[in-house]
Amino acid sequence: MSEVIKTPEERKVFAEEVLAKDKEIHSFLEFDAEKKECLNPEGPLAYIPCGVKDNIAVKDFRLTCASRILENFVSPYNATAVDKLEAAGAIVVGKTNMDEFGMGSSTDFSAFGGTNNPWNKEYVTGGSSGGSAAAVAAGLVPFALGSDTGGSIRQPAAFCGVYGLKPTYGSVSRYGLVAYASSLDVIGVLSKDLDLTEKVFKVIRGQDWHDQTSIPYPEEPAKPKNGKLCFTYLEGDLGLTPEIEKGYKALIQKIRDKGFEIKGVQLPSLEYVIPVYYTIATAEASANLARYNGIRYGHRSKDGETPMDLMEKSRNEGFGDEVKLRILLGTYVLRSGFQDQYYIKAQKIRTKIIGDFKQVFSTSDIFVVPAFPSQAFKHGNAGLSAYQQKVADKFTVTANLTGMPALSIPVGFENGLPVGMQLFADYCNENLLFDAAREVL
Amino acid sequence: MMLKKEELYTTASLARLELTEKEADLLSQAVSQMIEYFSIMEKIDVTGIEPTTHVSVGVNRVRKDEVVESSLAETMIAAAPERDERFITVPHIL
Repeated sequence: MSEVIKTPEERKVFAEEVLAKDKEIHSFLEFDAEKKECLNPEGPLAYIPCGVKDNIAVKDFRLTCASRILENFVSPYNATAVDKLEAAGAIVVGKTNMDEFGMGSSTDFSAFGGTNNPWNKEYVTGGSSGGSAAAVAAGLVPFALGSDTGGSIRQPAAFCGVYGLKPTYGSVSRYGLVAYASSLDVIGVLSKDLDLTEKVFKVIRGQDWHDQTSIPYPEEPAKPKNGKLCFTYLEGDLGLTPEIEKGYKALIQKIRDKGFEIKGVQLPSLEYVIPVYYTIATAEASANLARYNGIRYGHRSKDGETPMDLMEKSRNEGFGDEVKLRILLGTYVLRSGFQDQYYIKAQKIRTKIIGDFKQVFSTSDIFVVPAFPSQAFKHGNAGLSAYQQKVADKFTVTANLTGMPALSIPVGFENGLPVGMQLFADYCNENLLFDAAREVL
Repeated sequence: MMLKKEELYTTASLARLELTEKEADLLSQAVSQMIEYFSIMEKIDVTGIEPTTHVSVGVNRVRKDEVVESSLAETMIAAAPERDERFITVPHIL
């Protein structure tokens, strides 16, 4: 498919091809190649069509978060990242599927039906940015925006065999990103093309007065500590499937063969990152999702007799089971009497985990870690249970807890499905992630 | 540890979430399973460690308190499920 849509004819052919191909994949929740124009024909992304995850605001497109509660909500404005894409000439052509409000690792928790893995339709795409990953893997768009709270860009990228960048926390403005867990959320990029992934990141990053947690990105690219990239990998029994284990070992060997220094490290804190992550994520989610109450926008129950009744019923009808579970968990851990035991404790352990990672990056530049313990799993009961999926997030959530950048890279195929690995780096060292990926692949 | 049904209903009420009997059964299991998993954190010593709330915030940033034009008011009210001119309507309060 063409990489740019310049003429009306190109747009028409592009739209027809996407719609035809997407029938089997269902990566887009809304698609309209005519809605937006190229605002900068000279820009670095001029005429490049892109998809945007449906929890990121694009003016005049719906913003559903794949939830019934926002089913008919149309965004009145653009997210800052989308404004920046448009200013660089990119053309948003649609909104991509996801797990409801970003809560899930399969995209099967979308209220509007799951997305199929382009490599094998019986398998999930991963999640929650599964629509974005599938759309780029299937070649429907050259790149797509996703969001990553605990691995939601990197795990679907690995499942679909594409690159997925979770940038440093605060390097991309969250303005216009529907909040899930505000201290962990970040907007990032998925693409089959490593150079394009980097180019898009350079376009969307930067401080924004609409987001008080956004940071000015350093102008000077980071340099390797010892003049040459130095790597670290995880030792010990990591609970990987044989396919992932094979891919991980092969990558480590390749790094060695290319003459780079790589040393093993044990990370005992990996054992408790999941409880820490889910305590913090659900606590913040329960507060962030309080705004959906059927009053000002979104789904309103027809049966509410009092305002309170209306809120409780609207929320019951509008949210799916996984979202309800996380709201209940978050409300529970924040209840008076439990805060010290759960939320505050988790935040303190978070400090410890950050310390562990700083230690790793005191002597090395890149930390090589699997993206997920397994390849893509099957849809439905044949796959992983919702609980097993959460436990398996252990390799991705650390980037969100520490705020450090991580890049998911495709390293090969096993049984017809992609195998993906992850590279971590220190704060604002994204350029080293891209350099490392170019060196080792 | 199995979360008591009343505990779940109290939590749901704090979260302004109505639950059917069936949902309560299903969710109390799932919530209990996670809370039990969270108990791993008990054994970790965090004496003298400060909690991390955000990773990027160094100093407090403030902006100028200025009036800016916005054309969004009508669009915002138009998004309400029910309205009466420039008001959003809700069921009777008293």
